[in-house]
Amino acid sequence: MLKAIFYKEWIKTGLYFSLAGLVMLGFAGYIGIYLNRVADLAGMKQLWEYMLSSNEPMITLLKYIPLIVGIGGAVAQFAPEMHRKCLKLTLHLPYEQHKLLGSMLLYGCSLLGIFSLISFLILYLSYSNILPKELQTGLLESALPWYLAGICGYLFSAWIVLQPSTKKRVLQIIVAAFVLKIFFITDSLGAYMPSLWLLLIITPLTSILSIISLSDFKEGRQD
Amino acid sequence: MKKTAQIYLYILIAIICLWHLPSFYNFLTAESETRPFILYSSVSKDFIIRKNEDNKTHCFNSKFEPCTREVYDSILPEYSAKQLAADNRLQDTILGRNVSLKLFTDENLTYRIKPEEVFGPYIHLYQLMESQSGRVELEMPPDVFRITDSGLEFISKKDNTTDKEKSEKFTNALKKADFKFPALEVAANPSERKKYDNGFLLTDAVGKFFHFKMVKGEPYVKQIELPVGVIPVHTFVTEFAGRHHLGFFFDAKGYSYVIELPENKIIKTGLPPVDLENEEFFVMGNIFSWTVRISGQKETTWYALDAKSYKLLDKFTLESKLKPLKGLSFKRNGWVELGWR
Amino acid sequence: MNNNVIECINLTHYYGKRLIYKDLNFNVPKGKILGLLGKNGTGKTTTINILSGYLKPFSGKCLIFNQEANAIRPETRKRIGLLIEGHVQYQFMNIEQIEKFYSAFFPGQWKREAYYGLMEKLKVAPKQKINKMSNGQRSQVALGLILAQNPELLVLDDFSLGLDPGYRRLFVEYLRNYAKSENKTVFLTSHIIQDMEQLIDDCIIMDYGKILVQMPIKDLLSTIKRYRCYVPERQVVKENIEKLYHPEKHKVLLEFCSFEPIEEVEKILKKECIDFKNLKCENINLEDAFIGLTGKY
Repeated sequence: MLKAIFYKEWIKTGLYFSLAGLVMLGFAGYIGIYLNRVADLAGMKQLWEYMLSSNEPMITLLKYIPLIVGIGGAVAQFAPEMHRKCLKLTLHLPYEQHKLLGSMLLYGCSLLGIFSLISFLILYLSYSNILPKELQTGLLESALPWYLAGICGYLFSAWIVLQPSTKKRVLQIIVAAFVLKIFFITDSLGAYMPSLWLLLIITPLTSILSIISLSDFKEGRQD
Repeated sequence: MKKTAQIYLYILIAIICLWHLPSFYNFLTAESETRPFILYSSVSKDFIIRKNEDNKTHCFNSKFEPCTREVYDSILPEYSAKQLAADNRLQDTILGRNVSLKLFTDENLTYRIKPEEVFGPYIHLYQLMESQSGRVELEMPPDVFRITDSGLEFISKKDNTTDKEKSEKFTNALKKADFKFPALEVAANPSERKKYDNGFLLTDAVGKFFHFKMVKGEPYVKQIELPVGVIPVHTFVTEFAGRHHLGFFFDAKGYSYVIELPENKIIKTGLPPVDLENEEFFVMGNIFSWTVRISGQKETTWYALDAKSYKLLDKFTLESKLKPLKGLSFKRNGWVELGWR
Repeated sequence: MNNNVIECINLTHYYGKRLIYKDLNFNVPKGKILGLLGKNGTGKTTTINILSGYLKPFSGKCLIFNQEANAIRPETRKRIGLLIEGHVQYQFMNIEQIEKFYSAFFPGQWKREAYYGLMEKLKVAPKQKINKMSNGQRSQVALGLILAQNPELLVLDDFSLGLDPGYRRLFVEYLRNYAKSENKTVFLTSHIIQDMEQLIDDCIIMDYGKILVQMPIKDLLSTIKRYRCYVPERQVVKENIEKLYHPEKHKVLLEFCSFEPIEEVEKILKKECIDFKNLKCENINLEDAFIGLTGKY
């Protein structure tokens, strides 16, 4: 069943996720090359001294990429389900409805997770030559909330897109925007370490919100 | 399952409300509160308050009796020396000491410690500058170093490789001075924008205190004798123009100590314990006295210390008129940290 | 043993304050084809939505295979084929992909040949995406999938929507043969009545807020008559006369439908003080019966 669900999701979103994956990895690769070029041209000395004095990661270009990819992923995946209420077909499948929804979300989260992991690997490998391990770790620690925001943004967007009532959808957008703000409070190297646990709790828990939208859909709620 | 989802949603909404509503309320109800500029006058033995209101400067003593700008200048000659000299009013002798514009310029000092600078996120890589390069301008070193459990590791900024020779030389120098790795506290001001370099103040694993710097490429390590039972917890290196100080530190209880050069003499100040995690520490000193401002959320207190003995001369407190509503906060001293503030 | 595949008990629904219907009761016994007929907005799709678990009724309940419609177990869903209004299917899939996808959910019951048998009649390439197909072709894909699923109950919402006559006829014939040969139960709605006569066994004709008629199609067509008579031009005829549906006067001609025999109708007309002449009665087809019962407006 899971295979069949993934098959359908891939037909629906394969193109989007392929392109989005390329964009995400492309940005990670670009940032990797960019910092290497900065190190080549201005010298690693300048790079290190800037990072140590400002405590800022030099990869803020990446900041919103995972979030944009995540939101786009949820729209690509769930907007076609809401188009002419196609979701009715999906929910009519002989499979437990929560599991069905869970499998669809798992599909998106897995792809985003894989892209994030590869991006991390790219970042890690591209900096291993030019940065000492403290800066490298600080940089990855700074990027971690952004990648978690990508997955969390995807889950919030799924909840929003699946909501049949426009009024509730607006309220949900407001809640999602405020919660996602927590992932972007500061860029400082390693500043998120004391509250990483909170992001790691919020992100997976957000997946259950879609059940509310599903329930509203099943009750035929509309404005 | 839907119930769980709804509970989770309500928790999220509660977090958002507790986070944003108090600060929004504070924003709506806030009145403008400009903190006055206050200095201790050794001449009048009183705190002098300067406020800018309606684009005019107003001066008062600690009893809020107004004084003219001219009087202000004359009772704070250390800070108004330029104006006094321009007005031909700078005396040669003040409080029994020969003074000059140059003396004031050279001996005045300032230092600020913000909570986020002490407790905020920090990358534990340090830069050991050459403190006697023979050049007027300071230069950032070609390497950084980390302090491990067993020694120092210098990493070249040129090729990100460990300079084993230098690491060994400096580690050995510290070990020879009986420094026990790792370091509990490391302080320095790695910057080209200072006049000279005092190097590092290090507290070792057993609480011993060291002055560490590089002189002509060679390690300089000197243990600083601490008063009995005192362990430096938060240490700050100073590079004041007067070159009379190496730095200062706070012990576990928050008492502060000044390290005077050339003998690295430690003198406990008359300040009460300072909570560096929640209070901002700012000192402005001159040849007669130091004004120390300690700002917390509820009040700000100015302390006057004698510039020689660091004994408390006087203090002056202003309570904040603002009574902000507390709420959920995700920020603390540069960290993202959940709390009720 | 209860032989009803669908049971709707005291179903009442409102959209906001607008009553759709009150205390709707009907059953669909196994092997029957029931058509829910009504003009647009009378609550056909509402009923289908309640039946398929996508709308919570204001009150009352719907049972399918003795399970509440909004909590049908996955195993039971295997026994129900659902056609959504407008023959909606996953637009992003092609003929092969959609068959491959659905077949995974119905192991042991999936009749691949039934689907491809119907698909052969369509002149589309196997890789053609559904969103590139005409309404008629899409309807065949949706029907083919339901036939391949081989369910015991088929729930079809407004299957005639957007179909040209050829496809509509094809759909009806296919469905009728399939349902009758395999003893399937069908619940369908439609606002095009023409083809229903050949398809359904029982019908429910709905009007705004109420059920007008609920009976086997044979009984309906054998009892309902259209009456015509002449009346003076100045004769006033009330809009609502009991047992006479939608009396309509064109100058001197009065026309209406009724289930009553001619003798009874004469009595009613006299009682209403209508000065009629030459009262004639005739048998009518389902479409005329539908219009007669629901009115033209």
